[in-house]
Amino acid sequence: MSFQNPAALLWLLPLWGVIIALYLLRMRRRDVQVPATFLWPERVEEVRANALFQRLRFNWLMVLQLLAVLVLVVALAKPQTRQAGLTGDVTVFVLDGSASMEATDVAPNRFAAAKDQIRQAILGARAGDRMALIQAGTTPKVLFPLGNDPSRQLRILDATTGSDAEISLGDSLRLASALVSGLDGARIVVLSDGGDEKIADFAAGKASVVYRKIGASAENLGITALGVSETGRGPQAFVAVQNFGSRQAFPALTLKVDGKVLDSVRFSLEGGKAWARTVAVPPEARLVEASLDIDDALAADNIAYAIQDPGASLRVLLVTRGNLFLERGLALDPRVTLDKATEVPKGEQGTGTGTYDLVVFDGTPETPVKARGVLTFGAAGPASPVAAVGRVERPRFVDRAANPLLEGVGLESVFVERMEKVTRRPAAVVVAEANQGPLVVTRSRPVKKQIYVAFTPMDSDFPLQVGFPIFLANALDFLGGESKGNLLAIRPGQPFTVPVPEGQTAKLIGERGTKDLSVKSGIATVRDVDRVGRYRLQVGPTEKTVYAQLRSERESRIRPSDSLELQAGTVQALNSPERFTDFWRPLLLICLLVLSGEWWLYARRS
Amino acid sequence: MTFGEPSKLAAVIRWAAALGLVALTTGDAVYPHALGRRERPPAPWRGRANYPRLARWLSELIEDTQPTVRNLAASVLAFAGSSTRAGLAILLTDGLDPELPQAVRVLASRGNEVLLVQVLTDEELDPDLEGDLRLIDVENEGSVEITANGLALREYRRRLQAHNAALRESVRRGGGRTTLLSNRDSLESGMRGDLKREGWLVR
Repeated sequence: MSFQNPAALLWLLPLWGVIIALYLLRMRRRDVQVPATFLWPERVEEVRANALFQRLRFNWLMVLQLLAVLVLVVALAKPQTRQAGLTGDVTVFVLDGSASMEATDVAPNRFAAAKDQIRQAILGARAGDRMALIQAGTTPKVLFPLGNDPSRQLRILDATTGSDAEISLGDSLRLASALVSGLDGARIVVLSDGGDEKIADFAAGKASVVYRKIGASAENLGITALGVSETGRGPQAFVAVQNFGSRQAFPALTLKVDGKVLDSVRFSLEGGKAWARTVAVPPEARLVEASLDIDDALAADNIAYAIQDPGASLRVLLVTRGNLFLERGLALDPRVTLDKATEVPKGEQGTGTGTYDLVVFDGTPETPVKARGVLTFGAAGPASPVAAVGRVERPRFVDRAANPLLEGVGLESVFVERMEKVTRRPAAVVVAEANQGPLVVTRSRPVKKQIYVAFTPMDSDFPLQVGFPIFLANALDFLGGESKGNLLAIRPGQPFTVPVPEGQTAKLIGERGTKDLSVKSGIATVRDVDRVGRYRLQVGPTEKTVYAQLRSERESRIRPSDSLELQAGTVQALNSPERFTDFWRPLLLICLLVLSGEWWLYARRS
Repeated sequence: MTFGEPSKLAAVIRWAAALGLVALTTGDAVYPHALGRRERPPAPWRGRANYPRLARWLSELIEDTQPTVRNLAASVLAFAGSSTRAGLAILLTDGLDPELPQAVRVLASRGNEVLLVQVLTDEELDPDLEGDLRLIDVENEGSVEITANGLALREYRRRLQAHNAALRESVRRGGGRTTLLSNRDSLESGMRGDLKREGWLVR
């Protein structure tokens, strides 16, 4: 047993001293004359004391008062005992819903095992305990808020499913902290297999963080790379497999091109080693599919897709000092794999073949890059289709050309605080114009396409307009080349948007059924592709095939971590977490009972 | 005996006058004796004509404010040891002395037929006290500290009953009779009620 407020115990001796001192005081009695005293019993009940000192005599009232003070002081010291238990008085469960939690090294899988622990905690909760559940996904979801409704919580918990997505626990932990960081004795319980990332910008406040490690094994193989590239000998598919465990494995890899088997090989792979293979694929190949035949813990990383279509997949570098609107807007496009940087890496500068298909400059002067497409906002550079001559305030939209880039985009209603005043360079086309100069300019060359917008999104309300994501999608079509096929490759859990013509509907068909997508302002947002596999996306009469693949070393490395790295320090995994149970309330009740007894005795004797 | 309103002394003097008149009228000799007094008792009186002397003597007792020289039991023992002829000894008192039963037994053993008239006030029979008190004995200045609560009052009544019972038993064993009267009882009601019921009076 321990005390939350041990200093309160210091009150015991002074209070006892006061009570005993009162009993040491002699009673001042009223004198009454009687004819004889021998008939009267010498019965003295010291219920009040107010005069000179006398010898301390045993008195049940004094004993009860001392006992009441003792119980009261101990209650004020908030005694507590340690007991085994995952939860506290207020608990937020953070349930890791990442792909690695689908590993079957614990039966039936890690996610189900974590759910089972939460279920036991809910069933074992005390009357006043409050719990909330956050599922860590691509975006954190509060499955049930702080409350004490076990039947509802269990119902929601049972309906919760995992995903094949690569996720970070950071956002979910920050959300949990926002819920309970101000509450004394609150506890954030993370049920996860951990990870090697350090979670920054997280402070638990008054809450404590308990990490419950889920998982037992690291044995897993996964496809870590699959791509098709043009070489001097024609298109070549490159595939890599890594053994993330420690034991030797004998997997079989099968490569299919447009559904037909191209190659199949069984090989030996030692623990911790990687295996790679290059295979020539037909020039007309559109879809390359690699599948790994191995009975390992995680199935989601045993399949990968590569789509041979320049516009179907775009690697985009966003050069910015921070712009959430642009970041989210670009990430919503299913073709985009987005990276961020504050400046262009040296390897991507100049001319030649680089890693990125597109580079987006957000308020940063455009520099020559190897990417085949460049989108620049508000800062022309030497390589831009325009030359900057100054800055102007509050331009007014004047005119626009009939150009696919501005299809569905209403610049008339966009308010711009300031923009760059520019002049057009040779081969540049002004697509939209303001009263003080070109607003949107494009330039198309055989090896490079450029778009210049004279203002940055943050200097306008453009990101708040419906046309902003449409403009980004049009820009990606223009710069990256519109996808000729109807294939998409995405990551599970990654939300993306598709344009839906007016009057038409959109639906997603997967192995788990069909879901109608809601359409707002001509755009349907797809959020339900959270499992690896093949989906069909029907928009009106057209249909696209969506391939969701994991391809994440972080998720494939399923060895459960023994600790969580937080900004404030390391939280070690606890096998048998304990909770403190305070019992000052029953003590207070006992104190009241003792005082009631004391009062009853006092009234009886008086 | 000065306790109560009217005082117990006034009540017993009234009864002494009445019983003395009865004795004088019937030709008996009356030996007056005031217990606890320093003065020598007067000579016995006979005949109805001596009633005024008896009455004067009794009225002087009321006006006498001298403190008693010895307690009740000791006074009874002194009377028992005196040369007074044995006969009918009518003891008019409140009886509040723990040694009185023993003294009465001694008095009876000297050949006296003891008739005990015990006069108590309502406050003595059913005291109305409350709180933390220091009780001071009006006769011997002794004191006792009590908390006058239900328990204490019950204990007082029990002890009073036990004391009175012991007193009655002592008188009964000596062949005498006792009666317990209130200081507020009138002579008429006392005569017709208590004394007749106890068999003291035939008619």
